[in-house]
Amino acid sequence: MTNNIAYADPWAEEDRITGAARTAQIHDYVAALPASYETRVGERGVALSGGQRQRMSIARGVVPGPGVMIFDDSTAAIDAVTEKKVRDALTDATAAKATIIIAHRLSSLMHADEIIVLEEGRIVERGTHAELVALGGEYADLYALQTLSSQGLSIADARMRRKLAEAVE
Amino acid sequence: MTDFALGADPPDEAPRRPRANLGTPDAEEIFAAFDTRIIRRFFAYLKPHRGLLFGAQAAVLISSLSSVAVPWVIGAAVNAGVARDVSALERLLMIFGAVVLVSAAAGFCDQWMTSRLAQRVIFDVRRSMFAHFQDVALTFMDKTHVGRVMSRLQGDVNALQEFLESSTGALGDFTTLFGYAAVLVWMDWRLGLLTLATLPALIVIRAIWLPYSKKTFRRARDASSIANGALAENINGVRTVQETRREAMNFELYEEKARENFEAAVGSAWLAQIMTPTVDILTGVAMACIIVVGGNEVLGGALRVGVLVTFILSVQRFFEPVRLLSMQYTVMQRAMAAGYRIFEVLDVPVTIADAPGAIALKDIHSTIELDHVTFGYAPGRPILHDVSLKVEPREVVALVGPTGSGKTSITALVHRFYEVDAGRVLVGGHDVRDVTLSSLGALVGMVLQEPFLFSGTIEENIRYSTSGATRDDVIAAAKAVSAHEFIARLPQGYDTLLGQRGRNLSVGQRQLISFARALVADPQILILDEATANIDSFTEQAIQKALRVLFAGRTCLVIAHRLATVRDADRIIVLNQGRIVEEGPHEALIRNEGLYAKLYASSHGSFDDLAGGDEGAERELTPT
Repeated sequence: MTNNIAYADPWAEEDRITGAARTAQIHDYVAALPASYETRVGERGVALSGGQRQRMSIARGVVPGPGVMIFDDSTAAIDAVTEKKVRDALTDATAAKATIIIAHRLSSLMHADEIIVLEEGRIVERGTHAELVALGGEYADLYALQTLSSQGLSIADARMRRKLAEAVE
Repeated sequence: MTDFALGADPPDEAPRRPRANLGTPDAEEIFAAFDTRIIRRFFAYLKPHRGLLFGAQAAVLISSLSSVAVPWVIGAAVNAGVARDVSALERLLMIFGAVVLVSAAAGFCDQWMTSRLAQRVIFDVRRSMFAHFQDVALTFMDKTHVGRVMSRLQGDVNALQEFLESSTGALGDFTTLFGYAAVLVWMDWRLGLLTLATLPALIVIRAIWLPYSKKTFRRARDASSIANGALAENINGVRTVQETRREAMNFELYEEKARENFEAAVGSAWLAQIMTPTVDILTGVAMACIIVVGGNEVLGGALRVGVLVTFILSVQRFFEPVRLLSMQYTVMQRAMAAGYRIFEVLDVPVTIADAPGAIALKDIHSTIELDHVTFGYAPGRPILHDVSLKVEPREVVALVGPTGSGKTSITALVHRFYEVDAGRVLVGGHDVRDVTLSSLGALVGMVLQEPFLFSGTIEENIRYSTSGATRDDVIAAAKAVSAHEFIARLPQGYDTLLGQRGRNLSVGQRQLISFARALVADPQILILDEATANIDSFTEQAIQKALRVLFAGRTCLVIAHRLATVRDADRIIVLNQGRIVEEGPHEALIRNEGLYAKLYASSHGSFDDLAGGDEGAERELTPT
């Protein structure tokens, strides 16, 4: 585990490694493993789920403290609550840094300062989430599609969902 | 503050090691010595080809005996020449020609029959391994790394082939060795024993050499497999290596392993070659003895010059088999290790097979039922605890739960990929252990999360399990699951060849093709593990539409990751840590405010990873 998180900087101190793991919300999981951070990964070690692997790779990205972070669809298998925790932790850690997020799931990038919509190698729309939804273009279509297909149609249901989400958070 | 920091800071202790590794530090090599059980198993494979085996052995006997005869014929010819006996000389010349011809012909027969034998045995081994692998695959593969198994078995088959091809050679070497010894002693026992006197020296040298070289050869093999493992890992992960700028560090790590490999290989090469000069020196010593002692006797008239010639020629060849036999020994050791692993695989018992008197399922009510099922992949670590559920005919039931909750295990049990530890799995009211596997396979269709597409055309892939389907059936199925449009757009349409596992298609397209495959097979019961991979929203819509087509008129058990799919189900079963924690339609579960409601609220696309909830989820549940 340690070697994997410290992949980009093998000389990283322990607290930087655990710090990165905390940021990526994987520390609790790793700490609970039989050999904790010294547990072996893979074939003869622990098998990680898709979401755990994504969180490991986020931790790996955080360790060297880069000036620019790129997330290439790296939270697809992480649930929304955890994703938000990761995001909040990252905001603290990368306050003065540039972050680029690539995602299919719009909720993963809705909060961005600027959203760029690409189509066949060209930028077709750019702006904040609110601006793009108001614009009624590609982004708005995609947003409508995703809210429709994943959240269901009933308004009562949506209200219930919001209430539950608030309760969980 | 600064003082404290300075004082508290320990002076540089031992230099820290980087937290880095490349590949695994240990190699997995079985180094078996001579094992009679393995030999017996080998013989079982040789038995059907014993005609060939005996033929090759006879040929090798003839070939080595005739080569032993050559120096003797030459010696006799020299004697005849010295005695000016022309008729004897002519006769011996003819014998010489005949012996050389017989030796060449027998040598050829030996090589040819041996290669044939080796290839036949390898052919049988390959077939039995393939057949066995298909039967035991799941239980075995769960515990073993596929790539490692593949490379190991390929290497093992090669080692076995090498051994078989050279095995009759060993018999020839023995024959030659004893043949020369017999000829020499028979022609002149004093001179013969003098020659043989050098043999004990060789045996002693070999006895010292052997244990040492065994260790060195083993070290070389381990080092090479470790270095290869590191190389493979680095190639597989090259993107991450470049992303994280680990090239220099990994080069250092690799160099360390490559250097170890280099040193071990040099050591073993040195040891392998040291035997050649040793044998040469002994040959020279023996030769010198014969020339000095034998020459004196010839000068004194006690020995005929032809005998001396025979001796000189024989001694030159006498030690060659000794050297070859030591080479043979390493080949045999490798073959023993290879055989050990091959039989280890072949001995993995086939646990899932038709019971005697198993019935063929047909015309049944397509129900699925789990009756108090407990199941785990490793003994003592159950994944499912006392799970009971029933799916009625034409009902769509969604399985929902965090990673590791046992969803996949349930579906695997319905198809009887594994046996339950306790309880029963019933399909159409029959225990799956009492029905034939082929009828179960025809009844229960499966769509996997990451559909495996085989090399071949798209049409062949859609028709995969249903050889009777026509092209129209294939196209109709593709149309029904909205795959026709993109297939038709491909340059060769349905005849487009799929690259490595369909890599020329997107994840969503592969998914649609696997839906079409299931639709052509038209099973009464469908088990579907929904894809979680990143699919763009428009393809996802197509998939949702296709799913509805696929579900229609079938009993379906679906591992659902997407809310839309869950909402299409008649009933939802929520699993957590191998137990059913909730069950019911969507609305009821939401009202229940249990794990499902929590999962639902916390996810917008996928139910997969509930990182924070894993431990807390169960406590917060309201029992149903």
